[in-house]
Amino acid sequence: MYWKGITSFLYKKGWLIPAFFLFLTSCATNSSNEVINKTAFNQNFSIEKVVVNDLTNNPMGSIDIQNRMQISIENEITSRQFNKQDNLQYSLIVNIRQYEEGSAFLRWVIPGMGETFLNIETILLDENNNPVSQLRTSRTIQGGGGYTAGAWKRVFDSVAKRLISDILTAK
Amino acid sequence: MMNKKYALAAFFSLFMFSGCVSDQQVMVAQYDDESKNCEQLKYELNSLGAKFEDAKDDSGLTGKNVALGIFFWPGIIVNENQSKKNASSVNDRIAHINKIYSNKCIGKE
Repeated sequence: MYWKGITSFLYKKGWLIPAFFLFLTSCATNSSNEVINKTAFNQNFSIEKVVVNDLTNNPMGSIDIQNRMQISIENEITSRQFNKQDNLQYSLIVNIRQYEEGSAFLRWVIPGMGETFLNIETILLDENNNPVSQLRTSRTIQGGGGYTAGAWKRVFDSVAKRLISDILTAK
Repeated sequence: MMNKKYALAAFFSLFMFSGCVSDQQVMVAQYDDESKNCEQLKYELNSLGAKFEDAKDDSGLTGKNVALGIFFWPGIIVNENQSKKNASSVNDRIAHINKIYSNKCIGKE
């Protein structure tokens, strides 16, 4: 019923169709997951340790991205109860490759400019530190106006959410 | 008249999707890089070179950008950003593999 209302509104306003698609594509999360050791991946495991490295070569940045990423991933693990003590204890090594803070104002003035972007690479290790899976997760906010304000910090939560759900859904 | 309008809008939407450069970034460091032999590293460097050229070809005066310039110019900025990211990730991987190759293979061939 809800979707019917939206589609009928868009149908009546033909010009809004491209705008709607542009809105949908302006924020995108991309990810890939390559399972290296299927047997170890299919075990009941928990994430015990998360190590985040900042490899962005941007030490002058005003935000402690390493700490933010760490907190977002740990919060996501806790909220999904992915840290049960009776399971095998695996760990995550997260490398932040790129981060751009962007600007909501610039995105509003010129779509495409002021992009917020976060790209991480993760390796899931088993109890003996052997690789189990490697993942790449990124999120881009390219367009939008005031409603994208604060995307510079929300991007960490979105990426953490996608990372953990990628691991859980591939199991 | 109205049908024409919807057809045009649908065409424009499809065009916007197909005119975008896709995310082709690669993982810079992979779990088995250190265990690769010299032949494998050399082969990967060659294929990454070709990939880098492909990523660079998506930037600048391309058919997609020219068409986007006519219909929806901010799309050019989005495309340029994406192709820059694609090329940069391939470049970083080349540097990473090169480092391993230099340590492992140069002077031992």
